[in-house]
Amino acid sequence: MSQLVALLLAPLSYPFMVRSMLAAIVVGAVCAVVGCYVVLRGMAFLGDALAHAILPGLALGYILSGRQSLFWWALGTATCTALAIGILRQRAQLREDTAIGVVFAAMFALGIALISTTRTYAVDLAHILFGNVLGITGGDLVRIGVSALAVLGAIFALYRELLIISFDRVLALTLRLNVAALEFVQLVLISTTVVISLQTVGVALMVAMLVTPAAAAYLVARRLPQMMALAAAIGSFSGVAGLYLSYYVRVASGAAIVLVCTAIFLAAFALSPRRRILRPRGL
Amino acid sequence: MKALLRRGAQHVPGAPALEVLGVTVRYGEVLALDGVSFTLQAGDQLAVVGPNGSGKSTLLGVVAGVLEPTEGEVRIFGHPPGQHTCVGFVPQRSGADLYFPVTVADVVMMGRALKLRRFGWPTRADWQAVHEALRTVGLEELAGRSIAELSGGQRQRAFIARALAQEAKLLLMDEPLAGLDVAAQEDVLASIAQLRLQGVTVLFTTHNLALAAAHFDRVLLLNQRVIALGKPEEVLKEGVLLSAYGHHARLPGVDWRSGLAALDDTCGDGWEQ
Repeated sequence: MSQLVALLLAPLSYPFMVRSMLAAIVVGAVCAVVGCYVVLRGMAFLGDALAHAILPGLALGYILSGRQSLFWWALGTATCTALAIGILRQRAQLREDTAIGVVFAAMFALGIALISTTRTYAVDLAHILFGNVLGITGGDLVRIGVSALAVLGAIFALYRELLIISFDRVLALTLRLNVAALEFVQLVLISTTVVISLQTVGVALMVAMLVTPAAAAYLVARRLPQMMALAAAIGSFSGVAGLYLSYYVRVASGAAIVLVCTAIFLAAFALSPRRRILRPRGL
Repeated sequence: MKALLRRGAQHVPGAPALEVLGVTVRYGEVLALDGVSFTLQAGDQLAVVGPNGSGKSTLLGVVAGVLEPTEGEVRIFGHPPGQHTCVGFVPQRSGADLYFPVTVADVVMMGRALKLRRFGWPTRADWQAVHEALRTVGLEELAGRSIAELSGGQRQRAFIARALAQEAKLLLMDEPLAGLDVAAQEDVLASIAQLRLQGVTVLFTTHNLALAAAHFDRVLLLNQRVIALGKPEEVLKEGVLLSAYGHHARLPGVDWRSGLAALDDTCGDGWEQ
């Protein structure tokens, strides 16, 4: 028993590990709660696209202002991309997934092109792609915490409206909810979540943090608040467990977090009391 | 924050529940509705029948304010449709995600969204209203079930309960009986009859002429324009039906009620071309 405690406490003797753990707990929870909307509205591809589309904003911010204000550059880029995709979705004749594919590949390519002009190309790109949770500073942690509170606060305040537009758009229209504005708010919440999570798992694995805990919770929960709470617990636990795994087995931290998350999903899938057997094939 | 939640217009005293005034809808070259006019007083229940493509769903969409008419206008208690929150609309292909993690009671509570305080959890009175609505449609025992676990007829009744919880004064239902067996159809119709007791105005489309005749005081036969509007025995006559359904309508017998009953077995598909 005391050996187990010692194993659990050993990494915490490093301040950077404590910061990483705190960041992983907060990010895991926020990603999972926002991810419930992503899963329920079938927006996984959009989430992935938003994560990748941040790259040119990060590169531009890095070139123009160094490391200091990257957070704001990323948030600005993600919000603009969400807006662009929202406009394409409402106005263009293209199918939504096609429009997302075009926008996200172009933005990602632009980002790589910009980063390749800097000297520390390989290192920086690797951090952005795969995250660098161990490098989180006290300032990063405060920013993550404040943004997370803002996102969760908005979800709490708009809980009923977001529930209705996600469940039944026609009801939202007859109740005269401002559906376009609410959908934009939902996109901004996803963008903000993507940006604050960037440092923990990186662009490439971001979609897993959004989708996997929420998907696992969906298999078990009967109501949305249950699903959100369960997803948040799974997300936070995966973050912490992944960091321990990364510490003792010496694997990349972002990958370890995602793998723990996937293991929990598989367990939920195997043990789910009602494995959504009612859903017909292909839906 | 207020912009996200608009309030409905006050009803004009004495105005009819629904006035449809010369409504024409064109989809490009296609004429979906042609100068449709009729009026419903509060508490009226009207069944709209007509062949496929006759404009029934378009009519409901226009009344719900989801579709803009090309010409003409709609007034609900004296105001255009877009200004109301007292209209309940259950479309043919429900926009609802039936695999969403919500219980039946949650779905009915959504109808009360405009009545709840922000940040406030539903009060005991709200839950009572929800259970009252569920009791009215006979679903009280299923309140805690997941919406995915309901049968088609139970789901339609849950949506009716939601309109009750919304305190809707005008309920629009597009083919709520489609795909239901006879017993489930009777249950849905019984729930709609309950709405009459509460003074709710109902506009209802169906392919089932016999049920429309048996359960509604007034029937509107639609085929782009109003072919006939009145009591079932006036509207559902062979000559009138032939002019709407054309030569595809084979009407055995002369008595409209027995004739329709004979047709009833085939009417779901048999009336379609």
